[in-house]
Amino acid sequence: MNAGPANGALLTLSGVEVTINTLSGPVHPLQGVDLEVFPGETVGLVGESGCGKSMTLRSILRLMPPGGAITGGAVEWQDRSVLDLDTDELQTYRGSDVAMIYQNPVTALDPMLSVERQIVDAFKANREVLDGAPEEFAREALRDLEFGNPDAILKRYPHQLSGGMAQRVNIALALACGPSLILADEPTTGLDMTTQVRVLDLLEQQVSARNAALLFISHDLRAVARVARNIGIMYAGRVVEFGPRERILTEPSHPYARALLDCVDLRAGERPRSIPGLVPRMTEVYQFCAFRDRCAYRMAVCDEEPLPVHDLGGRRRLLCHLGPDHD
Amino acid sequence: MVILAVVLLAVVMIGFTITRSTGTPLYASLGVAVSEAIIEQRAEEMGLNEPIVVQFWTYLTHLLQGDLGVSRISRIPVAEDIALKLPATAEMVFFTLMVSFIWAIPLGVRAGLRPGGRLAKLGEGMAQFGVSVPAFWLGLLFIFLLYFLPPRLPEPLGPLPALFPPPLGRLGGVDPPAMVTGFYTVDALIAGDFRLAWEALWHLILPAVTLSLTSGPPLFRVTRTAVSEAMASPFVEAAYSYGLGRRTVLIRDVLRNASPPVLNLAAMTFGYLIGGGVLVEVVFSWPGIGSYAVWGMDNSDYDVVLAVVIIAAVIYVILYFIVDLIQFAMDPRLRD
Repeated sequence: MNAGPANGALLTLSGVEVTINTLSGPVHPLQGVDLEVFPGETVGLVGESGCGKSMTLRSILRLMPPGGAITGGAVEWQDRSVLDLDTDELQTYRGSDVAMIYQNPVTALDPMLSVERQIVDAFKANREVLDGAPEEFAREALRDLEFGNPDAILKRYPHQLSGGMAQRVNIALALACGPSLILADEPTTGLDMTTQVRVLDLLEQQVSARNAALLFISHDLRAVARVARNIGIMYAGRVVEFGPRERILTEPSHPYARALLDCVDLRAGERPRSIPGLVPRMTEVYQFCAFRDRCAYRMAVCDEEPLPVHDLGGRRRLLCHLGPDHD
Repeated sequence: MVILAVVLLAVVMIGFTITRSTGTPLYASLGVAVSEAIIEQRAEEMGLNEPIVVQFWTYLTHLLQGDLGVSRISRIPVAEDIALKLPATAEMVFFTLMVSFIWAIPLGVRAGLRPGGRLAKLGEGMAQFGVSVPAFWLGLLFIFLLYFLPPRLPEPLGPLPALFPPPLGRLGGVDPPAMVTGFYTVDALIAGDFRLAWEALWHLILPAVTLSLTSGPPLFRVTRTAVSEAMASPFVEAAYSYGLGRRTVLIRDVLRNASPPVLNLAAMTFGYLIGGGVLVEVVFSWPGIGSYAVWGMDNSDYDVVLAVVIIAAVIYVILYFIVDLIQFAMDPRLRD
């Protein structure tokens, strides 16, 4: 069944493939990503670094690194194909429909421009009619992010902001565009613990106040579990399991999801474990299951047949020969 | 500011020491067929018998009053000569930079935006050529190809004689315009004489193109690197992700962030060419301060050589100061 506008999804990725041509040969960070995001919902994606999380977000915005291209699959926004948008349509889609919050908050801001200039420019690019001065909107945008004295912050430059402040400015920037989907690329990774919690709370609160959807990626399962109602587990450029948070956190079906859960399940006195084996190299295109070399449940069929896609209903999906009901 | 003064003082000291340790100017100014007594008298006149520290002090105090000394050969005050020759060099260097801004920077921007593209390859080719070829040779080649290689017509007409003399010097046997800025092109325009302005420009083109081809490659490369670094920075991707257009991102983010190193190098190139364009000045008979310094060296004329060194240093220092001011105005990180 093709998930399209018929089921009311805001964003649908089906079988998205990305290839980057580098000096040392092609790299395939995405090898068939399937994902849906519905209006107003929060979705999380978890996986080790290099599994294609960030690239998934970039493919949604069609922002490819040098030498990179979306080489297969479809990205659909409501009933439109994002891959077929022309330059003007793409410019409108970016920001107004989907906006992104970046991992490193300080480098995501132009060091030579004031906070005010950056927010005002984002406003102007995305709102055709402003009833009022854009500076007033910028001040309001900062106030929403709990800045006590927005006027002082507006006059500042990125290097004068702490990491937590810079990330709140980035969130304000993304929200200023008025998108119905926010992409968050590990937005709290560089921040200290207390700031992380604060920034996440603010992000959640602002996203739900605007009825926007949130697609949140992180290597930190706990951060994702805090924010997301539905969670996808990514491995080697594919979403290998997807389902509601409770299901994924308590009884995941995919062996990799289980292993990942074991890693973070820090009961008193236990040391965190790692998953044996090597992270897959993305220079290869995986015809069969990419996890089978590290998998405790490996069977003969894993080496013979491509991964089956089990659609289990209720947003649950699984890519594994074991099927949903193994012990 | 204090640092700038210290730099200049150091230049004067080093320059003074070096020029004074390269032999005596006495024979050069008087010839060798003179008696010891005359030599001795001249040395006394010129203060050469004083201890070197006293000589330096004398020089420095005169320098601070704007007195650069007198040429021992022509007996013309050095400051007067420099007032004539510095504008000539400055005009040539200025047009050289203009020519570089026309090719090296646009091609550098393009090469940074689209590495491997056709224009990027053109720029890389020109840069490779420019660094591989000596400027004086390129200048001679231009003169030869354009003015001495007569166009050949089919027999029996044979080769035609070269139609035009090469544009050597600043003007072809015409009186210069009334001195205002010392730039003949500008002065001619001020005087309202367009023919003369064109004549001056015509004489500038070849030396400027020659110098630009050989001094422009670093500008091309730095521009390319700065632009491609800016393009790869997260804030540029973020700007795109907020739905800003290509042109906006290019001007607002990419060019702004790429400009400091390019600006720096342009100032350095200007300073370098003030003294470093000597060979091209000689090839094109350009009456500039480089040729003047060479003439001074040939004649052991201390004050001429030292004055050129000091003037070049002053220009460097002033340029750096201006560039610092511009960058200070542009980059908020420098203001804190």
